[in-house]
Amino acid sequence: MTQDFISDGEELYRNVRRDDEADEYFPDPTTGRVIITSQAFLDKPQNEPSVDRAKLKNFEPQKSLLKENNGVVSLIAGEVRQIGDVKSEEPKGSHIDHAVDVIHDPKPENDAHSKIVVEPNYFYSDKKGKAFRLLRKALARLATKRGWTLEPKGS
Amino acid sequence: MLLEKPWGRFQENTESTSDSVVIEEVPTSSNGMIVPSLNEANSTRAEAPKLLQREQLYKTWQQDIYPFLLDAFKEKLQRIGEREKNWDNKGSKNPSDLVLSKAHITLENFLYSVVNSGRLWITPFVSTDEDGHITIQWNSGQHELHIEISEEGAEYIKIWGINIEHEMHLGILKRKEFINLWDWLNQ
Repeated sequence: MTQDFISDGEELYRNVRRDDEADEYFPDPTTGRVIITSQAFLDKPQNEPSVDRAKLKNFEPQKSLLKENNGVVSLIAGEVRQIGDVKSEEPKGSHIDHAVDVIHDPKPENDAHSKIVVEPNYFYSDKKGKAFRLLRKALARLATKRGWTLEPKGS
Repeated sequence: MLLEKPWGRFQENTESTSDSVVIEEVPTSSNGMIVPSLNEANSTRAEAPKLLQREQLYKTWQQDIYPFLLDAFKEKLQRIGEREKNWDNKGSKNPSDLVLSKAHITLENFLYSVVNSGRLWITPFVSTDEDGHITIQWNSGQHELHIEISEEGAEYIKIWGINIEHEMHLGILKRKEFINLWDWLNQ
């Protein structure tokens, strides 16, 4: 069980609950496409949404299901990092800081386990206090763009 | 379906709202939503049939559409109000009566402003978050509009990309900005 760097091109799986009252997705009333909500990325108390590295699940999304009738969405590590790209000005010029990152965090029961972390202090004042909420909204947007990797049964 | 006649409140709102919107044309939409003009002061005899049509359309809005949309909100907020603590098995709080009441007023005012201006209404997704705030979400093309209602007040978040710093904007929700937010959403 070793921890290694997750490259920008890696696919990540996230379980999305099927329960009607979980509010983790809904159909767009005008287009009918599925919209994933920020509730789907709520992981308390750490505020670090868990994902699985697809390649360590042999690209079988059903292995990331927490319940049989749930669904799975995919994220791309590089896109997740772009959520927190912040331009910093320094005397020698500007550079890009990554306020959001994906870190491999293997567990005994799940070698593919990883977590998405955010550093609120990179953001300006009105966003610092809401960094976790905004991160989840951005993750939901990314997941919505890609749609289901594995559709919930009976949805 | 006509549980509530909004006419009294409508008049009240119209009279008390200094920035109320005047509509020159009678817009129709593919989803059947029709909103009549409220500006009848300059009408002439030649416009009488048009005026009659407007009155009829206005009645439709007054008696059917507006109460129907209000009822949908009420039903959803009632269901949300029945949630208990840890409703999502993630430790989230349930909304207080005060938050529910504020959400009802905010949604009603937002609906009134949008529909009364002749714009098309999009049904929002209404839920609660981990702190028991009411969350309202609209998606339209690349734009997302979120409203979060707490006991302290209401905030909006405009989202047009994934970057937190450059593609999201936060603000305090004010009634006079409803139409601007709606127009941005539908750009």
